[in-house]
Amino acid sequence: MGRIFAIKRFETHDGDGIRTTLFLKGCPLRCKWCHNPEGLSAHGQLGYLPARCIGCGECAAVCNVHGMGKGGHVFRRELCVGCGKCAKVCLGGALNFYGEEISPEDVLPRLMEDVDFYQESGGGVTLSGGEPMMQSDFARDIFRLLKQNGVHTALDTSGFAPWKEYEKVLRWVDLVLYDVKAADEDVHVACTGRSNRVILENLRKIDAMGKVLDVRIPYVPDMNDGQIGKIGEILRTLKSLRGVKVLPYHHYSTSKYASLGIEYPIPLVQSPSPEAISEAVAMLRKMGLNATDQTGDAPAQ
Amino acid sequence: MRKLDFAKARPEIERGITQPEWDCASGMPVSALLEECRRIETEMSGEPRMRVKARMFAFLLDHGQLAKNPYDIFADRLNHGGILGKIRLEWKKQAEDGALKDAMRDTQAGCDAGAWDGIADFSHTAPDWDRLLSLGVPGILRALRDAMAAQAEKGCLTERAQIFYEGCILAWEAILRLLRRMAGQARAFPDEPASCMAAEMTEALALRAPRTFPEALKLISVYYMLQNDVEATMLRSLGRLDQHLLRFYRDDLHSGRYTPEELDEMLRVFYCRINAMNHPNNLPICLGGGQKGVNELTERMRKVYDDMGLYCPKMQVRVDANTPDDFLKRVMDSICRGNSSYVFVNDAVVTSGLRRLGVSEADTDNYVPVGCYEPMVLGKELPCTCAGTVNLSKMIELAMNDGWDPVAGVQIGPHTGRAETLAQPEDFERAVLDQIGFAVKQTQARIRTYETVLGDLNPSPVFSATMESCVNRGEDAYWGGLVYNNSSINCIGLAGAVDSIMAVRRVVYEEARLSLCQMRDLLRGNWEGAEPLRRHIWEHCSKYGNGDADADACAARLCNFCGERINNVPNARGGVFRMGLFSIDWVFGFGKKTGATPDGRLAEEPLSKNLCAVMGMDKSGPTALVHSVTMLDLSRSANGAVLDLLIHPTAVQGEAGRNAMLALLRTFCRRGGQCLQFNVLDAEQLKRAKQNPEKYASLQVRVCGWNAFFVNLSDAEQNMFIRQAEGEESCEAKL
Repeated sequence: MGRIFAIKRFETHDGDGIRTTLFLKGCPLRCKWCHNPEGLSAHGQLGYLPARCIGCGECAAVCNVHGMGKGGHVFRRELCVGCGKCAKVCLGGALNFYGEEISPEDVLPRLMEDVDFYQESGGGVTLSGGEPMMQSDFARDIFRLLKQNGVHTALDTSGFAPWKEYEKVLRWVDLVLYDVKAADEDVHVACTGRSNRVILENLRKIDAMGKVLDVRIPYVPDMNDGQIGKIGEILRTLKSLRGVKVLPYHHYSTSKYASLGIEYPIPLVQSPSPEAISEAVAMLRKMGLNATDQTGDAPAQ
Repeated sequence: MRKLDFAKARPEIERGITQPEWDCASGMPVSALLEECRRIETEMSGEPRMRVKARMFAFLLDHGQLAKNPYDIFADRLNHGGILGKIRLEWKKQAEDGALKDAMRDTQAGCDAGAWDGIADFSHTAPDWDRLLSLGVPGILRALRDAMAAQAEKGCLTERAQIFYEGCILAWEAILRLLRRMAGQARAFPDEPASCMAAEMTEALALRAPRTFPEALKLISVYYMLQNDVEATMLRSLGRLDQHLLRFYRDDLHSGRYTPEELDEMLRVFYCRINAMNHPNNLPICLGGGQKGVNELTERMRKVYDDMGLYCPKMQVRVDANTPDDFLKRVMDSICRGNSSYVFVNDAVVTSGLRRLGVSEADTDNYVPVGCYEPMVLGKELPCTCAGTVNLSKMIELAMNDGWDPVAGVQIGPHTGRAETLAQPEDFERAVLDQIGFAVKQTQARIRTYETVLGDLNPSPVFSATMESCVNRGEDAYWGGLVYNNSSINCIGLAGAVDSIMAVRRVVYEEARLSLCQMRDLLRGNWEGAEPLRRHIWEHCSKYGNGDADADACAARLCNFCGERINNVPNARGGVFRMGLFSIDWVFGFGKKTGATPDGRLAEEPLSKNLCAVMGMDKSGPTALVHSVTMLDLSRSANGAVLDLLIHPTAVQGEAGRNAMLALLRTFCRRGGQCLQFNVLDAEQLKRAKQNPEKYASLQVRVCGWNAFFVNLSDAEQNMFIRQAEGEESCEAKL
């Protein structure tokens, strides 16, 4: 069994073709710009959007962490164990449960629904997160089932996991989407809470295996934007690297943070300008790398 | 060719369409024309309408004022005053108040209640463009005379046929005279190169068939005006222009008569005039498809259109496995850049649908989507694509109330069982199907009623004379002179009906939250005091449009049932009925008359649109929606079945995004989808546009089957788009 928090269909920029992305719960990193905060914890979690609450009281009827006070719905998050029962009965779409437990066999049909579209577009299934390597057995089983069904597979990973976890899954993976967030260890620690030593080691090992490798660099002003050149230097030494995408930081996930009761880590950071992204892409291209923005289009000369 | 400067002439050309300057000396004012037409009507009272109409038509052409527009090579404006359209309306009214009165009464209640409707559809035609272009005006006239003479010689010329031939000959002789008048008018500006060319071309067309690309475009322009505007047989397709015009295009280039740039310039003038006509539902042009597929002219027509940034004409792209990816990707690119005027039509499903209606295999290849996306055999069919409508959501309401309509307070449908007697979910669904079956019969009866007088109300010498079968038989298109004299009925609000059946099944029969009687009463009270239940249904019941097997199977049952009851049932013109599954903007009018429905919809809200999910209920994204739609057997819906896909701009960014869109279309086709149209929009942008219309004057959206500027839509339509876009965004969980 594994724990997931979303299945997103018709993904068009995470790997080749039209893809379905399965998001696995749990991540060892705490990147300050993380746009999937519901994927951080390995456990079930409840998201609550008060604006959508219609005060029907259905949740309070199934769980006592919810109550109906004078001012309407009261949610005592500190008591919530993340079982998700309340989300099933919520009538307003105000309660969202993140952390469904499911077996590889049960999730497979949901990943196979768009198989026609994968075939037509050269797409497939991506496992993302969180960090899928936190549930490497689950990930391996899903990948294996997908390969047995002839589906193209991609692993979207932060690189932060013991090598033995990668060894488990990589034989079933066609494409690796690999995040490189900083080249300097101190910057990486400041941004993500962890050293990047393992990440860079794993990157080289995966590269040595000859896997199709796409590196993604989140571009976050005042956090890692000074690292692009140095990251480029590292990437230049790889031999299996197919492309590099520079992904602009955005703050669309602020409402998700609020719904989870997590403080937004970097409220003051602005999204980068399109020019800043173009410059970063141009810098990497000058270094001989096949760099693009998030659309995957090479910039016009 | 003398140099024409389109960019400079464009405002003048457009003004010539929108505000023509009539030459008073060239003919009578509209008031005098009308007076004379009235006189003709009185004088010929009791004579066959074909004779009356042809006389009036000829009079309008001989005496209507011509416009002065020395800058337009296609100058063809005639001040006809829309008189024949007005007179036809009067004839129709007379029939409705007279001969049809009793028959109409039998089917009236359901029309008033918004349960069904049947009309006389004088719109949705296209002439035999190929025949018109190959014969030209003199050739058509000759063919008419020859056919009449041949029948007379054989001694089989009936009086009816003679009336037809004489009417057509009268009308087409008048067209010849009009061409000469127009040429004379153009000769009045010998210093203007455009006018000289107009005069030369018009003179040539009065003598022979077109030989060049500009002449062919000129004939199409004049003919469009004559059929659509003067005869008022609404012409709703310019045909497969890239096929009709190809031989002219190639010949002009091969012979060196014109350069490619000069022919592009012709296309620009042609498009710009159509755009200026500002047809509210846009004028369609079909590109590609069939055995001949995409050719070099298809690509030029697309490119010139794209470069001009127009929103009308609208383009219908026929797609089959051989349609080049490159071409489709360029179209996708236009759509992503904000031109939403394209619809894709899947040849495989359309042709098998037409085959099921008895169209020969050879004929199916030459189909054209008429109107929005209603396939029709070019040159052989009059499909009356919007003759009938059945409101499927209303059928839920009737089934719930034993055929009684709580909104109008009258019995409309048959007694299919009071709510307390419908003990099983199958009973309820059976009641819905029985209501549909009755509604279909009523609609067919109503259409047949009109069909008995269609030829009398709308003889069409201009239209019919282009049709080989009409000319050979001596029979007007509206008398049944075509090879396929069909009428169509569109079932609307499919998703709402499916979701309603699913909701009743779940909350009444499975969860037993309430009885069907209680549900019926709740709906009569517009969900008053039952918001939690309504929300429960909204959030937790199976919904069509998400690849849900139960809901999709229910949709298929409804679709198949409607198809069985509609398709191939004989109409009153010697043809058959054809089913369509599109709704266009009828969802508003019929929605207004439909009470609350079990899917959670409130009374008077719009119905679900085309083959879309109920607004906001396609929570699983475009691939799941395609999955649901393609579970239907759309070859049963030969009158058109369209899915509107609203996609967020970020999903289709860049080359990868365009490729994904193409794969979406290809998969849609491979799985048996029929017509597909895209809107690439985001909700925030739409909200801003609603608030600041002046800043978003050029924002296009595709409305049901045509293109419009978002800021010009009604409040209700704008809100519909915003809600649909928000629904799409709620699927965007991630970066």
